[in-house]
Amino acid sequence: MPLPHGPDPVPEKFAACSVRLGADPEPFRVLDPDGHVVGPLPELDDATLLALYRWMAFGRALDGRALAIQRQGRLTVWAPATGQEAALAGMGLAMESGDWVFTAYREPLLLLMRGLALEDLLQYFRGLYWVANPYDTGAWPIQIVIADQTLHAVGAGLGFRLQGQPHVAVASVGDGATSQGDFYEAINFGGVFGAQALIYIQNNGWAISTPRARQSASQTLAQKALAFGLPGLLVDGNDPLAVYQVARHALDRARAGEGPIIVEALTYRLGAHTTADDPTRYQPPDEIAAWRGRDPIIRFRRFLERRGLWDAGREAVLQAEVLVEIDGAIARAEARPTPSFDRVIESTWAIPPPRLRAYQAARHAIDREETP
Amino acid sequence: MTAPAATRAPNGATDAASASPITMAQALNRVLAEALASDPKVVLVGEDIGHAGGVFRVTDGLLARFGAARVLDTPLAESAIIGAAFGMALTGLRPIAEIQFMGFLYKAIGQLAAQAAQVRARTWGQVNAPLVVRCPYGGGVRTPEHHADSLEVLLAHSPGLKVVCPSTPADAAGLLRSAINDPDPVVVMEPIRLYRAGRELVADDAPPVPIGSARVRRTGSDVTVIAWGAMVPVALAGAETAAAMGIDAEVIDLRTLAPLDAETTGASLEKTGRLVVVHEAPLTGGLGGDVVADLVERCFWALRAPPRRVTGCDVVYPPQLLEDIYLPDAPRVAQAIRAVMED
Ligand SMILES: Cc1ncc(C[n+]2csc(CCOP(=O)(O)OP(=O)(O)O)c2C)c(N)n1
Ligand SMILES: [Mg+2]
Repeated sequence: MPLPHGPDPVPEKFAACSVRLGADPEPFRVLDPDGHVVGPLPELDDATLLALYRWMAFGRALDGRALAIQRQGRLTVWAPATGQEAALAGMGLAMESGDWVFTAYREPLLLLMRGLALEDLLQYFRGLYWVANPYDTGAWPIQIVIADQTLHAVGAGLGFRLQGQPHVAVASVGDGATSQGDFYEAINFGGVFGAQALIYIQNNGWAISTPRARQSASQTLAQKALAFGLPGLLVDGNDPLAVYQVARHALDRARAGEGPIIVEALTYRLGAHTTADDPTRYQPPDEIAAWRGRDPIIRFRRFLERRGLWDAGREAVLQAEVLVEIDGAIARAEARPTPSFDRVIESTWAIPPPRLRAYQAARHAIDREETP
Repeated sequence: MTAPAATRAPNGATDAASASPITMAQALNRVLAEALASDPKVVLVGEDIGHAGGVFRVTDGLLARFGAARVLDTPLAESAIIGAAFGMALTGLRPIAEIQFMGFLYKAIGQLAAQAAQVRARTWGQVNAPLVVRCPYGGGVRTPEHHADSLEVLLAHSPGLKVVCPSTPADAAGLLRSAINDPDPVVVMEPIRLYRAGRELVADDAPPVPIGSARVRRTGSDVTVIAWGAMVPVALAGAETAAAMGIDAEVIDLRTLAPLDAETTGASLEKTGRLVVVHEAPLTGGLGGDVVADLVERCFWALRAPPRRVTGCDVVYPPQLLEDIYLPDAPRVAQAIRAVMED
């Protein structure tokens, strides 16, 4: 297996957003915050642009509903991705069927775009294990242990390469995750073995209460690629058309066996870390306000409006539609019976050990006693 | 940023605060404040312990009071937190590290068990590492995956480490004091479920609770029930149920998981002849096995029935909707107490 020899020259259009020694990269951008075109547009037809917008709106609406039902005790926790919809949807659109994605907890939108059913996803946040089969969609179970999935994606990307499979494994991590040893071990392995992987960092400014500046003394997170012989690209994470193009390039390159790229999307966590968090303790209001002005959904909507693809009427219809869709999935999830504890016992090992079987039998005996 | 010591009560707490009952989280906070105020070598390190005050608010207010050179919000890296705290300890500091949830200790276990715990042995006793690691642990509060582990066995099985696990605010304060004063690495397992479960008066001048001392929480003559952390209230409730059936159980809060207090447990078993051990970690390889083996070896002739264990079962910690079925509860403890009486 030939080793990739250091970063290839990136295509001209990504030259300025590519990290290099002694130069400040400019995040790749297509749309300015007001939705004006300031960079090269991707070749996407109108239907795809509208589908992309719909996903972003869907993500925003899902956060709203999920937060509401979490407050009613119907979900155990929720980590809103409000403000990060472009970073998620741009990546989701660029991936191909057969590709895999390993995410943390803030990426439901990306998982749904890969084909995970919302009602299956909701089971997890209602307080169950992962119910969907990851092989069906390539959407792997949410990873709670920060950064662990970086290695899994690199390993999967190596597995694809060794077996000649034309797929790419995407690791989606936060800025905080880049502080873990596992992150560096992963990008090192990925470089050495030319894994068919993409390391996607969503830098949303915060890791719970830790600001990006306290996470690493390096100027960008993408530049960490340099030390590992990989290309690193910086992208405006609130611009779905920019994220899509950078992701596409990184996926194509990895698929061709040329090794991973680290992509850092600059975005912002507009909501709380999770429903268990109180960001007023640490997140400066003026910073939030500044990023509200760069809302990815407003940006993309203005772009679509200028092209005559969108208007207030269509927006109202869409909002109503996605709510119906989300509420339907919530209702279906809540109508499902809670699995019995036996399921836990049956799935820990393929064959439960005798001692566990004995526990199960004793448990059943008690249940029979309690329910005459 | 630190007020001159003279303007505060000797331990840093105000008199008004000490006069009212406090939670375990508050008790821990008070001892941390007291340690920071009284010993300039004490330094706190951990994720989100500063501006956010810790995810359980145990370090609330300490950054504002003692400054960023004493309370270090770290990057997100558990191995670095423990490994660097160990290195800091070698320079004479007394670091108190927080691992946000015990499940994340897996990421740092090499630095803790293979490095910090072993430095004394590896230098023939010439080097010690006065390091405290605080870990919220345990289930029952609907936390996500990897947030409910009880990993005491990994630690108790690592020579060189001490492990304490309080179940009351006063014991939490007393054990944390001892941990901070200890010349070697001590892990404080803090039961998440008990952080705010009850309040009690915690005297400012209460002496440290010695490491290695269990506490009899309920005296009884028929059965010895041994538990720790969040299982202590469960064991006490089970003992009350058993009392209604005419069985008089003695409940021992182990408080220190390494080293074990052989004297207290042995004396109790010599008296009762019957033993139940309760823990929320899985059965196989659980600390209960070691507690039972130790007592059987020492008190075999006092035994009147086979010991029983009430524990989590051998499964991955279950998801929130099913965790109550997994966790030992008072009826299960009562049932085991009744069973050892009937055996
Ligand atoms: C190994 C590990 N340590 C600590 C935590 C607790 N924790 C959960 S999320 C989080 C911050 C993650 O920040 P980042 O990687 O930037 O992702 P974001 O939440 O911003 O999406 C922390 C510290 C964890 N889940 N796993
Ligand atoms: Mg982040």
